[in-house]
Amino acid sequence: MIKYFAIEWEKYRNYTTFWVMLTLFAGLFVITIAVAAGFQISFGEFDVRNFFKFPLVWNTVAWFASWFNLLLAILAIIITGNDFSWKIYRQNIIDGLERTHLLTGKYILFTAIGLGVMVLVMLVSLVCGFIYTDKIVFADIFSKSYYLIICFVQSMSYMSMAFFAAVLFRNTSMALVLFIVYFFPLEPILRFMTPDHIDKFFPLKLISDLTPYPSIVDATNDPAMKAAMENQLSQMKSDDSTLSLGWAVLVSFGWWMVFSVSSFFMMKNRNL
Amino acid sequence: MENILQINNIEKRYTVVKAVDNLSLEIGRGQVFGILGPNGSGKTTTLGIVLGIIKQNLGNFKWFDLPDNTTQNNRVGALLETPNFLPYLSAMENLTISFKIKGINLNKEEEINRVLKITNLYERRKSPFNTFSLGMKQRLAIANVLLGNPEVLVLDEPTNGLDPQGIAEIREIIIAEAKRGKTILLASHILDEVEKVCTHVAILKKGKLLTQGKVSELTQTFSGEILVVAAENNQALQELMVRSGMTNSVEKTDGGLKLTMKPNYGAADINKYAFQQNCVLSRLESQKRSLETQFLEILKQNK
Repeated sequence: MIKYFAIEWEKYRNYTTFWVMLTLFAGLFVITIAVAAGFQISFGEFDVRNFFKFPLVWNTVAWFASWFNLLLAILAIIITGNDFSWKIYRQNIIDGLERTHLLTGKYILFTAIGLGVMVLVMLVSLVCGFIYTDKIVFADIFSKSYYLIICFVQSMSYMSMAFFAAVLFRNTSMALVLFIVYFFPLEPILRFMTPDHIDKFFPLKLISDLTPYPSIVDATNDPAMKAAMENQLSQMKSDDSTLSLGWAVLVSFGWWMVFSVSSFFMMKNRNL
Repeated sequence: MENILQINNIEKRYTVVKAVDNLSLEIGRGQVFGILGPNGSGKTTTLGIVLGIIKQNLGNFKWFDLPDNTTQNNRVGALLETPNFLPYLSAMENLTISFKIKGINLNKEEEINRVLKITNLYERRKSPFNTFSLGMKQRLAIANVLLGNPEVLVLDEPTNGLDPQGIAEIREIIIAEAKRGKTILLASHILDEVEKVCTHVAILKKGKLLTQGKVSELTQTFSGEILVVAAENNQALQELMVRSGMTNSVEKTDGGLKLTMKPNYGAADINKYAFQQNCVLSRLESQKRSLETQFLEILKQNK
């Protein structure tokens, strides 16, 4: 395992695009959080800064991080597509790697990136939490920190989907264009044409739903207002539109496996 | 002789085209084995199959008498078609990746410097691959092949893109490696290159094996000797030679005739026949068949 990571690290540690994409992800994410947390909008007992207090901050920061997962997916397509375009996979096999090792190496790299994202989200959440929480209760600090795991599953799911696209098309440009076409118009159109009880299983929708918009109800201090909002929301909510968080994580994991296993069989059986 | 590579009845189809058609070859230890053939004859596909990057439809191959269809690329140094390296990395960094993949049990820096010196790239070891000329890229690919001192070298058109000096340098490297007892599998369409370097050769056309054997045997005995003869009356001599029944072809050349003899007939037979027919030959010389002549003739016979 260490050998495969060392090989991948050797490939990308001096690759400008790799660091530009990661810096872009981290930079845009941190700037967005800083800007959002800087807003001083409040009406009555509701204050935007409540989103950045423990424990809601875990959900808020994970939700913001999910905006930029497309950058990680693009990075996954670029580095995988390049290995096909520049025939690096072919050379790696000639030099002695097995086909399964090629996939293992990339997945270890994606895992490292996913863990890096998780650490960044954790640091930003803790910093925001400690800055904006008025009265820190220890039990609250980590009570919603499970969003870190969700964040990891989400970024891995995006990257495994992107990897699948790159392996399928074996060409960076084509994989990028088709992935983005699927991301923006295609899946939303397909979902629009599909009943709610089915559309919630579409991969992008499901992966995106892992980090829901942080609840306004939770960000409200006034109990009466909270109750009123909860009541209104429960009337509006359609049970068919989204899966519960637990199910969403499980099905996302399923998609992640589908993309990984399909990529594995394509890598194993096709000419390089 | 121990078999290094055995290819048994391999077939590779791309939709309706057969790139390799029921090909069987045996390469023994220490042989410098040339695979010759025109473009599209299946040379690269065959090498791609035994290196594990192309999947065959039928047949199997066996490296070092190990189980069927298992590649042994950590014991083989190979260059297939074009040099494939990461363009933004330097020669050293690219070779470091290969070094790690091959799991070479030597000092990394020393080994990389060794192969870079052999291929005259040491001075440019820190330059990115995308700044290299075609010849330098090819030499880096050769350096990669030599990395870790593998038992077998597989070289597909190794002199592609090189200038005459570069070709000579690569040829010297191949000959030096062969002298060290390495088994070398060399695919090329440059006949002169194969003839100068190889001990054995197989000729392919449209994926089929036309012939194989030792280069020396193939150039001398396969299809009869070539003689150049002349007499006072070459017109009469030509008619005589055609009538003799010993020749496959009789062609006029400057001041004489070029005879392609039938197998088992040689210069002595022609001389004796001409003498018996009261014709005195003023010139009789045997020409060594080049591999090129042989190659072209074999291809012509298998049109």
